[in-house]
Amino acid sequence: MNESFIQLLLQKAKDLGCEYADFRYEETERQNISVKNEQVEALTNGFDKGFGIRVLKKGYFGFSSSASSNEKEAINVLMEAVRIAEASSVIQADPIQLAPSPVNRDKVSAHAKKNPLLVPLNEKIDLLRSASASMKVHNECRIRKASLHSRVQYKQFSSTEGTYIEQDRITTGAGIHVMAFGNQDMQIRSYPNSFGGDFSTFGFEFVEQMKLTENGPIIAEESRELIYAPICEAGEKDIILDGNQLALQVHESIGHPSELDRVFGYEAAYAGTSFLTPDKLFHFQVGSSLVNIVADATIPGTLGGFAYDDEGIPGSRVYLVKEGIFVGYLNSRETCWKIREKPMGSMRADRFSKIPIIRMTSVNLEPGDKTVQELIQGIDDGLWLSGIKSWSIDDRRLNFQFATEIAREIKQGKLGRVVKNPSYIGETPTFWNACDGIANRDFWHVWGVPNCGKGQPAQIMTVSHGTAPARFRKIKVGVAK
Amino acid sequence: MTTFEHCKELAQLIASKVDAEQYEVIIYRTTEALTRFANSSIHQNVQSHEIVVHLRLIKGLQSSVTNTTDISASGIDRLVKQSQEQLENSTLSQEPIILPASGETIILDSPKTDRSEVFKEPEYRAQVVSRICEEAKKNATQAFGSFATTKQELFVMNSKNTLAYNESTQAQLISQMMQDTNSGFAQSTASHIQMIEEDRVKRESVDLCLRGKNPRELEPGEYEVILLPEAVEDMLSMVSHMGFYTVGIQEGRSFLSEKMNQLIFDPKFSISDFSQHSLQSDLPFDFEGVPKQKVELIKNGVFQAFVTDSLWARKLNIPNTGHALIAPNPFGPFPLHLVVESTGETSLADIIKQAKKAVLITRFWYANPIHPKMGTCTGLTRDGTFLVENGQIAYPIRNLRYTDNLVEVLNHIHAMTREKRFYNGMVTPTMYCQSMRFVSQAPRS
Repeated sequence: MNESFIQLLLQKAKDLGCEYADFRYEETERQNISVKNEQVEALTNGFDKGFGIRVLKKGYFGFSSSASSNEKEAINVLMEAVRIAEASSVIQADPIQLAPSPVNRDKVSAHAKKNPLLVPLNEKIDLLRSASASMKVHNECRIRKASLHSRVQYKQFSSTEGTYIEQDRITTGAGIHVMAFGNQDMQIRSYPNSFGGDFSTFGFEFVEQMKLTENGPIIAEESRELIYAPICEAGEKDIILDGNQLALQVHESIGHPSELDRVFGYEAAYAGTSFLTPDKLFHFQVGSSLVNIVADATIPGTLGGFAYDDEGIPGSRVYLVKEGIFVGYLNSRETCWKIREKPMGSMRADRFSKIPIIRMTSVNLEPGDKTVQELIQGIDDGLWLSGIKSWSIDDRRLNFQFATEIAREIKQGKLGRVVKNPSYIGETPTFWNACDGIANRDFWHVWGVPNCGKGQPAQIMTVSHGTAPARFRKIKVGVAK
Repeated sequence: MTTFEHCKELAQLIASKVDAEQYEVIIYRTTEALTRFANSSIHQNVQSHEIVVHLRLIKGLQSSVTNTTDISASGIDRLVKQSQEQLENSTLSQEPIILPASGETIILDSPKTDRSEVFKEPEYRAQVVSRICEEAKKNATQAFGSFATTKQELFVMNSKNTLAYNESTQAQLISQMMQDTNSGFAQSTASHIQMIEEDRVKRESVDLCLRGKNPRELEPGEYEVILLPEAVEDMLSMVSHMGFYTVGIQEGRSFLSEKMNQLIFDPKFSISDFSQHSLQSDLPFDFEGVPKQKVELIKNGVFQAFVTDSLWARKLNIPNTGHALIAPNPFGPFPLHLVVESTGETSLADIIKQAKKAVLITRFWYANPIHPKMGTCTGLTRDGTFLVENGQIAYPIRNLRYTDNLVEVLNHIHAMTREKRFYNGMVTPTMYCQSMRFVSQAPRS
């Protein structure tokens, strides 16, 4: 929208008595292609545009939004946001204060080399059909799917403090999976990850490098092997989590509990609270000394990376866990000053119609110094687990249970036979303190996660996690058959 | 101009611009408002207005689907242009798409639509929240939760003279009371804001919280369970996602695959998809404009039907039950309005009296399927878990994790209550089941 009109609108917010206001306009173009058994199952294109206005009046936030982009509607929406903020003041509470922010003016370009929406449609469909066909290696491999997601977004942010930012962002993701049926069972394998594959803010070049067709036969073979494999036995074993599963472990057990809005109870009735309370900051041993976890929005191409968040704060790199000690939070301007910190830039909304909330950026487990072979060699009786299948964690993010698509036994330092329906269970600090080896940077990859759910009304955010396979000692496995 | 007339005018404008053998226009308009509270004060208060226009074009075996929120003249031109280009470039599908000819289902004055002024007022929501926070203060607890209102309009028009419109509203109040070691939860969902049971929600959430003080350990294992209506909804939503979707049933992915007419659950268990139930949210037709039929999925424990849309009805040569989602989607037709058809005459108090040793569960949290074909799932209890012994609530217990086959859990039902509640799109009673397997307990605070 026209910048001078936005400034007029923000001035009007001030005239209406608002201490602060910000305006966010977004245009998003999307395309999703899904191929099932070599046929196009779904092909949709979408275009959204709209804006949201957040105001702070008498210490309360009000937010409203509209899909319309005309100026008269913008005035109505501002008035509505102000009315909502005023309504909140019926309850006397400590007024919301915002930590200071530098005034930023910037224009940010996308990282992508190849805009995926400009790649000819038939080229994309051919790639997916070929990937689907590559999994047709056994009769048991009855459902073979390949999908490609493309999104191009323009975002405009302006605040009463003088910040004005325009950002372009491209998101690309793809993946394949196969379901094998037989032996009165059904098993699934995915590549490079479950639930749509891997995602980044690079362009179509990211998909070209995935080698979907080369990996199709491998997962198809594994899916067939799984249906005839023995069930993972219950017991206590040393385990190695593959990078894709470890990304989810970081996400659920460290990423979410580090969100400061959770800690202060803002998500309590819905997504829950956190065991990482401020009294634990700087001394709680959440993991072994090998465990270093950073929230890093600065790595180009990562799905959780960005130049500025939806409060206009630059993306940053901060430690959440350093040498096993809990040392930091994901925060916002509203929450950070309460723990005497500065805003680190993690407030994002999933679309124009939603208010920004604290979200993970790229929350990464830093690589260690081992090779995967060395991790395996250090196990007498254990399991290697890969491929996200099922996840669940309690409302304080302590008691978790995960199931993976596949596991291989490890006996006397060597990978062995495949076992099916593997699962593991634990409590967060005990689990991370059982980490005694992390693979090195050669095995490290940032996994794009497009489906992180949080907030009311529900928001689905894009985040990411850098991980390399890691080893954990004496973990309870095989609870779920 | 009414919103129906506005939708019709917009759809006719789009129709006049398209060049295809068949077309379908869906307009979905929502206004959502939500007041969220934590630590006994409002911390988030929002409203949004959204409109999405979906256009599906079909030519022979080619089809395209495009959507937009931009309903300006240029936005509509862009939508049509993109749809036409995509149609020309789309690949041939295996299945011909034949849009349904369902005639007109136009509901302009639904009794399930709240047109009161207070439905729209942030001040009213804030006052209700204020009273909940007062109740929290009186009982030395902290209040958390939300009060939300949603107005939605669905309009469907296609080239086969299908024309459907409906407007509906929903309000939902959620209260979670918390102390250091314990919490309680209650909710009320209704079409009209004045039907929200504010007093019950306050009373129950406080009561569950206060009763839950200093929860004890319970050795994981198999126990009888008394599931309050919200817990039953949490469990059945997993059962539905693992089992009741037609594509999964047909492709062998569901625990119901190849089990038509077989006894799957306890004979006391019957569940239907029935959007016209008095407690259900109002959606009289599906996203193809086809009137929704009541479908008795499970009757007396026997799997006897599944839902269809135009594609699956034609594929299987059976009637279209009106359960299409917005095309295209990988789920196929889906039951969104489940109603447990219990004929129980018992009350919760009766059930508690009957139980010698059972775990009483307010609700579940973070459930997730593990093996959909077997019906295996995991999740945790939350906001009030108690041990019932010798006919009375003995003491609170810490949250438990279950990992179990939910088909088996529903295979041995002792009793269900007469009273039902509506929550997250489902109408459910309290249920007393013979066994649930708990594998671990959440750590102490």
